[in-house]
Amino acid sequence: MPPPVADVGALLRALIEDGVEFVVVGGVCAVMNGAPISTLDLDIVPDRSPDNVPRLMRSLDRLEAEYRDIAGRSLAPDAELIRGAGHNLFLTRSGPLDVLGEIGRGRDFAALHARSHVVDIGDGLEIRVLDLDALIEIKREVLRDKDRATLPILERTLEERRRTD
Amino acid sequence: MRNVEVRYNSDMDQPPESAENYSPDGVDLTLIRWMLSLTPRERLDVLYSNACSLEKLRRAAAGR
Repeated sequence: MPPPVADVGALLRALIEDGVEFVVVGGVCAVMNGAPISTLDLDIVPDRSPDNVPRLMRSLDRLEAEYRDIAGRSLAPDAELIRGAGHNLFLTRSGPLDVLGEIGRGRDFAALHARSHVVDIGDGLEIRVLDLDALIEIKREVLRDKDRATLPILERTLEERRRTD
Repeated sequence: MRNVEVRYNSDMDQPPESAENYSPDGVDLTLIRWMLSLTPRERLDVLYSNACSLEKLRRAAAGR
Protein backbone atom coordinates (compact mmCIF):
# COMPACT_ATOMS: atom_id res chain seq x y z
CA MET A 1 0.00 0.00 0.00
CA PRO A 2 1.43 3.45 -0.91
CA PRO A 3 2.40 5.64 2.04
CA PRO A 4 -0.30 8.15 3.13
CA VAL A 5 2.38 10.78 3.72
CA ALA A 6 4.43 12.22 0.85
CA ASP A 7 8.14 11.45 0.91
CA VAL A 8 8.72 14.85 -0.65
CA GLY A 9 12.45 14.27 -1.13
CA ALA A 10 11.85 11.05 -3.09
CA LEU A 11 9.12 12.64 -5.23
CA LEU A 12 11.25 15.66 -6.07
CA ARG A 13 14.26 13.48 -6.87
CA ALA A 14 12.20 11.37 -9.31
CA LEU A 15 10.82 14.44 -11.09
CA ILE A 16 14.25 16.08 -11.34
CA GLU A 17 15.90 12.87 -12.59
CA ASP A 18 13.35 12.74 -15.41
CA GLY A 19 14.03 16.36 -16.31
CA VAL A 20 10.50 17.57 -15.51
CA GLU A 21 10.07 21.36 -15.41
CA PHE A 22 7.76 22.42 -12.58
CA VAL A 23 7.15 24.94 -9.79
CA VAL A 24 6.50 23.73 -6.24
CA VAL A 25 3.39 25.37 -4.76
CA GLY A 26 1.09 24.69 -1.78
CA GLY A 27 2.16 23.47 1.64
CA VAL A 28 5.64 22.28 0.68
CA CYS A 29 6.27 25.67 -0.94
CA ALA A 30 5.20 27.35 2.31
CA VAL A 31 7.58 25.15 4.31
CA MET A 32 10.46 25.76 1.90
CA ASN A 33 9.83 29.48 2.43
CA GLY A 34 10.12 28.97 6.21
CA ALA A 35 6.48 28.75 7.30
CA PRO A 36 5.83 26.32 10.18
CA ILE A 37 2.88 24.43 8.71
CA SER A 38 2.21 20.77 7.96
CA THR A 39 1.02 19.04 4.81
CA LEU A 40 0.63 15.46 3.59
CA ASP A 41 1.12 15.96 -0.14
CA LEU A 42 3.37 17.62 -2.72
CA ASP A 43 1.68 20.13 -5.07
CA ILE A 44 3.38 21.04 -8.34
CA VAL A 45 2.42 23.12 -11.38
CA PRO A 46 4.26 21.62 -14.37
CA ASP A 47 5.17 23.15 -17.70
CA ARG A 48 2.48 21.69 -19.97
CA SER A 49 4.52 22.11 -23.17
CA PRO A 50 4.78 19.23 -25.69
CA ASP A 51 8.38 18.62 -24.54
CA ASN A 52 7.67 18.46 -20.83
CA VAL A 53 4.46 16.43 -20.61
CA PRO A 54 6.12 13.19 -21.87
CA ARG A 55 8.86 13.66 -19.24
CA LEU A 56 6.22 14.09 -16.55
CA MET A 57 4.34 11.01 -17.79
CA ARG A 58 7.56 8.97 -17.61
CA SER A 59 8.14 10.15 -14.06
CA LEU A 60 4.57 9.36 -13.02
CA ASP A 61 4.99 5.89 -14.50
CA ARG A 62 8.21 5.31 -12.54
CA LEU A 63 6.45 6.54 -9.40
CA GLU A 64 3.59 4.07 -10.08
CA ALA A 65 1.13 6.97 -9.91
CA GLU A 66 -2.61 6.35 -9.95
CA TYR A 67 -5.45 8.83 -9.56
CA ARG A 68 -6.80 9.08 -6.02
CA ASP A 69 -10.23 7.73 -6.88
CA ILE A 70 -13.06 7.85 -4.36
CA ALA A 71 -14.59 4.74 -5.97
CA GLY A 72 -11.31 2.85 -5.50
CA ARG A 73 -10.68 2.30 -9.20
CA SER A 74 -7.12 1.89 -10.48
CA LEU A 75 -6.71 4.74 -12.97
CA ALA A 76 -3.39 5.48 -14.67
CA PRO A 77 -2.29 9.08 -15.38
CA ASP A 78 -3.94 10.55 -18.47
CA ALA A 79 -1.69 12.76 -20.63
CA GLU A 80 -4.72 14.55 -22.09
CA LEU A 81 -5.91 15.59 -18.62
CA ILE A 82 -2.40 16.65 -17.62
CA ARG A 83 -2.23 18.93 -20.68
CA GLY A 84 -5.36 20.68 -19.36
CA ALA A 85 -5.79 23.35 -16.70
CA GLY A 86 -7.36 21.00 -14.13
CA HIS A 87 -6.02 19.30 -11.04
CA ASN A 88 -4.71 15.72 -11.20
CA LEU A 89 -4.51 14.15 -7.75
CA PHE A 90 -2.27 11.07 -7.62
CA LEU A 91 -1.15 8.52 -5.09
CA THR A 92 2.35 7.25 -5.85
CA ARG A 93 4.74 4.78 -4.25
CA SER A 94 6.26 7.81 -2.50
CA GLY A 95 2.91 9.21 -1.32
CA PRO A 96 0.39 11.79 -2.58
CA LEU A 97 1.39 14.04 -5.49
CA ASP A 98 -0.92 16.70 -6.94
CA VAL A 99 -0.20 17.84 -10.50
CA LEU A 100 -2.05 21.13 -11.02
CA GLY A 101 -2.54 22.72 -14.44
CA GLU A 102 -3.40 26.14 -13.00
CA ILE A 103 -3.90 27.57 -9.52
CA GLY A 104 -5.62 30.70 -8.23
CA ARG A 105 -7.23 32.73 -10.97
CA GLY A 106 -5.81 30.97 -14.00
CA ARG A 107 -2.14 31.09 -13.06
CA ASP A 108 -0.19 28.57 -15.09
CA PHE A 109 3.47 27.47 -15.12
CA ALA A 110 4.71 30.52 -17.04
CA ALA A 111 2.96 32.96 -14.71
CA LEU A 112 4.24 31.16 -11.61
CA HIS A 113 7.76 30.67 -12.99
CA ALA A 114 8.11 34.45 -13.18
CA ARG A 115 7.47 34.67 -9.44
CA SER A 116 9.58 31.75 -8.25
CA HIS A 117 13.14 31.10 -7.12
CA VAL A 118 15.52 28.15 -7.11
CA VAL A 119 16.22 26.35 -3.84
CA ASP A 120 19.10 23.95 -3.20
CA ILE A 121 17.72 21.01 -1.19
CA GLY A 122 21.04 19.15 -0.93
CA ASP A 123 22.44 16.06 -2.68
CA GLY A 124 22.91 18.17 -5.81
CA LEU A 125 19.15 18.73 -6.17
CA GLU A 126 17.63 22.09 -7.00
CA ILE A 127 13.93 22.87 -7.20
CA ARG A 128 11.94 25.90 -8.29
CA VAL A 129 9.64 27.18 -5.52
CA LEU A 130 6.95 29.86 -5.74
CA ASP A 131 7.85 33.08 -3.90
CA LEU A 132 6.11 33.51 -0.55
CA ASP A 133 4.45 36.80 -1.49
CA ALA A 134 3.00 35.15 -4.63
CA LEU A 135 1.72 32.19 -2.58
CA ILE A 136 -0.01 34.60 -0.17
CA GLU A 137 -1.55 36.52 -3.11
CA ILE A 138 -2.97 33.29 -4.59
CA LYS A 139 -4.34 32.10 -1.26
CA ARG A 140 -6.07 35.48 -0.83
CA GLU A 141 -7.58 35.02 -4.31
CA VAL A 142 -9.15 31.64 -3.60
CA LEU A 143 -9.66 31.98 0.17
CA ARG A 144 -10.94 28.51 0.99
CA ASP A 145 -11.40 27.60 4.66
CA LYS A 146 -7.99 25.91 4.78
CA ASP A 147 -6.42 29.06 3.28
CA ARG A 148 -8.03 31.23 5.96
CA ALA A 149 -6.34 29.00 8.56
CA THR A 150 -2.83 29.23 7.11
CA LEU A 151 -2.83 32.80 5.73
CA PRO A 152 -1.87 34.51 9.03
CA ILE A 153 1.10 32.12 9.41
CA LEU A 154 2.27 32.85 5.86
CA GLU A 155 1.85 36.60 6.32
CA ARG A 156 3.77 36.65 9.63
CA THR A 157 6.51 34.47 8.06
CA LEU A 158 6.90 37.00 5.23
CA GLU A 159 7.11 39.83 7.77
CA GLU A 160 9.76 38.00 9.79
CA ARG A 161 11.79 37.33 6.64
CA ARG A 162 11.63 40.96 5.60
CA ARG A 163 12.56 42.05 9.12
CA THR A 164 15.66 39.84 9.27
CA ASP A 165 16.87 40.12 5.64
CA MET B 1 17.25 17.93 13.08
CA ARG B 2 18.16 20.98 15.18
CA ASN B 3 16.65 21.67 18.58
CA VAL B 4 14.91 24.86 19.60
CA GLU B 5 17.07 26.94 21.91
CA VAL B 6 15.15 28.11 24.98
CA ARG B 7 16.61 31.13 26.80
CA TYR B 8 15.52 32.00 30.31
CA ASN B 9 15.57 35.38 32.00
CA SER B 10 18.38 35.00 34.53
CA ASP B 11 16.84 37.52 36.95
CA MET B 12 13.54 35.78 37.34
CA ASP B 13 14.45 32.29 36.12
CA GLN B 14 11.35 32.45 33.96
CA PRO B 15 10.81 32.19 30.22
CA PRO B 16 10.46 35.54 28.37
CA GLU B 17 7.05 37.21 28.35
CA SER B 18 4.85 35.06 26.16
CA ALA B 19 3.32 38.13 24.50
CA GLU B 20 6.65 38.72 22.73
CA ASN B 21 6.40 35.29 21.20
CA TYR B 22 3.08 35.85 19.45
CA SER B 23 1.93 38.22 16.76
CA PRO B 24 -1.21 40.31 17.51
CA ASP B 25 -3.26 37.75 15.55
CA GLY B 26 -1.93 34.88 17.67
CA VAL B 27 0.70 33.35 15.39
CA ASP B 28 3.61 31.67 17.24
CA LEU B 29 6.62 33.71 16.08
CA THR B 30 9.13 31.41 17.82
CA LEU B 31 8.25 28.59 15.41
CA ILE B 32 8.63 30.91 12.41
CA ARG B 33 12.03 32.13 13.63
CA TRP B 34 13.12 28.56 14.24
CA MET B 35 12.02 27.42 10.77
CA LEU B 36 13.80 30.40 9.20
CA SER B 37 17.00 29.37 11.00
CA LEU B 38 16.97 25.97 9.23
CA THR B 39 18.32 25.14 5.80
CA PRO B 40 15.79 24.21 3.07
CA ARG B 41 16.80 20.54 3.44
CA GLU B 42 16.25 20.69 7.19
CA ARG B 43 12.82 22.27 6.64
CA LEU B 44 11.88 19.36 4.38
CA ASP B 45 13.11 16.89 7.02
CA VAL B 46 10.99 18.61 9.70
CA LEU B 47 7.94 18.47 7.42
CA TYR B 48 8.35 14.75 6.69
CA SER B 49 9.04 13.88 10.31
CA ASN B 50 5.99 15.84 11.52
CA ALA B 51 3.71 14.34 8.89
CA CYS B 52 4.86 10.79 9.78
CA SER B 53 4.31 11.44 13.49
CA LEU B 54 0.81 12.80 12.87
CA GLU B 55 -0.03 9.81 10.69
CA LYS B 56 1.22 7.45 13.43
CA LEU B 57 -1.01 9.21 15.98
CA ARG B 58 -3.96 9.12 13.59
CA ARG B 59 -3.57 5.36 13.13
CA ALA B 60 -3.21 4.82 16.88
CA ALA B 61 -6.37 6.85 17.52
CA ALA B 62 -8.21 4.77 14.94
CA GLY B 63 -7.12 1.63 16.82
CA ARG B 64 -5.14 0.19 13.93
